[in-house]
Amino acid sequence: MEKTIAISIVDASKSYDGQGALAVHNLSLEVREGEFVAIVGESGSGKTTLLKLINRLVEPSGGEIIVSGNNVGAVDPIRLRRSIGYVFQEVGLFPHMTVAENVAVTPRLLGWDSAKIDARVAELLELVRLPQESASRFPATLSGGQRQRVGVARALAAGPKIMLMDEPFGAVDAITREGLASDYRTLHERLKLTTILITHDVVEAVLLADRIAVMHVGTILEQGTPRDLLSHPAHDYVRELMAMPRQQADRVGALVSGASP
Amino acid sequence: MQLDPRIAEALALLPDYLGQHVLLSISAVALGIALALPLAVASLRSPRLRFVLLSTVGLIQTIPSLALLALFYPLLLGLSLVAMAMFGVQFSALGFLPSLIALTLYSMLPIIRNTVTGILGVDAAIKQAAIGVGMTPLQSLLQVELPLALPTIMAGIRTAAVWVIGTATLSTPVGQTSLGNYIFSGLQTQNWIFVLFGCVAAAVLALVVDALLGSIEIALTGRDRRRLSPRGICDFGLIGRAGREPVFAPIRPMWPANQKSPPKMRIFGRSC
Repeated sequence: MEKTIAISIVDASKSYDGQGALAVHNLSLEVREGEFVAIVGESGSGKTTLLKLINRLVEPSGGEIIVSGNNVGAVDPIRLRRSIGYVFQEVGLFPHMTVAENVAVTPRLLGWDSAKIDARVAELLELVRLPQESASRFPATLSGGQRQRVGVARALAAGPKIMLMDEPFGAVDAITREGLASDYRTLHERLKLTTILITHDVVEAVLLADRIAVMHVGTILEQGTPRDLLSHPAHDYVRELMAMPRQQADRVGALVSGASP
Repeated sequence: MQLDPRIAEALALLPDYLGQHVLLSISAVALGIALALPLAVASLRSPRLRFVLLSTVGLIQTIPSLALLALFYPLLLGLSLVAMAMFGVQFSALGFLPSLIALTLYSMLPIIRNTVTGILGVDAAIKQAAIGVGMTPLQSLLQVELPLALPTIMAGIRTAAVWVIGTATLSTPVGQTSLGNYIFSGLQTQNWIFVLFGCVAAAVLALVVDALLGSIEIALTGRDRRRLSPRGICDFGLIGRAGREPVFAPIRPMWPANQKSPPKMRIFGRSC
């Protein structure tokens, strides 16, 4: 069965200085409903710009972005952002608000009544596996991993169908990261979300995503399932990028078996 | 024991002088806040407007306070004549009005500067998050930027209040009763007790108002502070904690800048 397209980016470009240097150029990408797409690439390849184009945190210099059948240029940006979950690279929790208030931000903006908001906050804390007691705590008293979970809960609060995640598990240690990532993948399935995840960690992309798009200097160089990209990449850059985790694993394996690396 | 007659005389005048001094200072700071906050917020979007605004209030600050107060006498006199000619109304160019205007102008610099610094200083990631979760620019300002800038803004208001209370003593020569009356009449009659009495009264008033504003600040922001640290309750006192102005700033104890928190001390038996 052919699934409907949730997000369609057609030939989008973005230049921040109005001329010359393009952060994103002639980029096209389609994401089907329920799909989990990882965008990988180095710093400065335009990944974050791509994500911000989708909820109009950044306006395109050219091309079209269509979300749920509507051209985002024609949609009220405030309403658009309230309907899309966004997890920020720096998490960006509001330090003067409790965990519960942070999670409740978007529902409050949408004018939900307080009983409905309270119930939703409790449900979300459960969902992201945070203890209910943390509701009254302030972000500064949480660990890095817990803050990331609050960030995910805040993004999910108003029940969006689309989630945009900008290196959401970046600022935590490897073990916490692993736990967060697999927990999120479970949520993605359970809530039937459409997710675009940005990461520079190829292993994370391979393990989590249905499809990987490799970005290089402002455009998508190649895309496909993790298996495709690992087994027969078309570009040298992609081959090198995808080979990295295996090389590292080989080196670790060699160390363990006692041979010199 | 009999009180020195000069002190007794000074005390008898205190309710009138202090009352007028407080009324003038409160009016000036309140008017200063009412003008400075919207101006500061309006200047956030345009660096050029910000430059013009900060230069103007900075320039006002360089005018000696006594000269600024005196300046409004001829200005208001002229305005009063114009108003008389055009509308048949007249107002006094001496006393409360020129003092109020001069002190209001004086109070604006610290409030504007701290408001601008405070709001511009809010972490860019947090501002981005506010827009990203779907806030309008106004919602972001009211719900995120102003609350986060509040400690800096309050510090500006406290500075303004202390300045205004001190400078208000200079409104005596333009015909406004204030605690300055002790000082100026004491100078003329070589009554040093009066001079000293006026100075001490103005200083005590400044300290009390500063502490009062500090408590208001804690009432406004104290909620998260208290939850952040079980020691938060000790903030309400003579000592400050990392990154925060103590309530009673003028007599803040000093500790090395590289030390995160003040040395341990006990206040009323509670370890801070």
